[in-house]
Amino acid sequence: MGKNKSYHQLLHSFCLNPSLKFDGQETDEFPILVVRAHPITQISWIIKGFFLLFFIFGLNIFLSYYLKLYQIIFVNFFGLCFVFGYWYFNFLQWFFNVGIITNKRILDVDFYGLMYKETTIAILSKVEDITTKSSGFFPSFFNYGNVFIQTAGAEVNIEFINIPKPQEVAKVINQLLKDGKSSYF
Amino acid sequence: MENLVIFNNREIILIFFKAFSLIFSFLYFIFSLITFQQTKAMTKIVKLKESEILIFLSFIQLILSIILFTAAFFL
Repeated sequence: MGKNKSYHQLLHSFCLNPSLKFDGQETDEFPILVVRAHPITQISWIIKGFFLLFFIFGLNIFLSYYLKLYQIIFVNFFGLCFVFGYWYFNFLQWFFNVGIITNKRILDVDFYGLMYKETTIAILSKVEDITTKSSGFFPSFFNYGNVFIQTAGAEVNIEFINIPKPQEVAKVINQLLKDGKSSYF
Repeated sequence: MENLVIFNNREIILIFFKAFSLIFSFLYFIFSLITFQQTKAMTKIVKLKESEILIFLSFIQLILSIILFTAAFFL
């Protein structure tokens, strides 16, 4: 792992030295690791979308008895837009729920639904304890889990949920703490 | 008694269909509008290379919702 070597794994859910910028980034601050939920944890909404598509196409048989052709086309078009909207909304939720580990801080950016966003920041020097948790068949098989970062005093704690390679994430943070917060790579 | 029947079954279905089309396409338009605004807000917080593509996709969704809402009027 060289200083400037950048690589992404698992559909950008585990990115080392990414070319990412974020709101409030300091001039001498650079992201070292960016994590998102493991792609396998997102499979449910993809499958649900396909079920919705099958349902809409199945509905055509029933609608053909009552509606005219242009109305059936409208229903299908609306259904396709709805499924696209459903997939796109879930994708955005996954894509923008990120954990960012920089040479100075740890950030947890969360977007819930359409209206709510939350950014939790912890300074590296305040980190006291890092716990990783990975239990169950799928987390063990696909190597994903949770990372809990406990900070000192009144500082907030940070949680990265269902992220890939939790042990490696903990290792990166530990190494940053050990090496004086800025010389991991 | 027969004179009191204004709509037959087919017409009732069509009226309901039009009403539901208008309501749901309007709701979809609101959803698209909020998604578009939220995407812009998200890309301001986390700045990525893919930000422009995501904003473009949100814009496409917004255009589709306007087309749907307009089409619902002419059903």
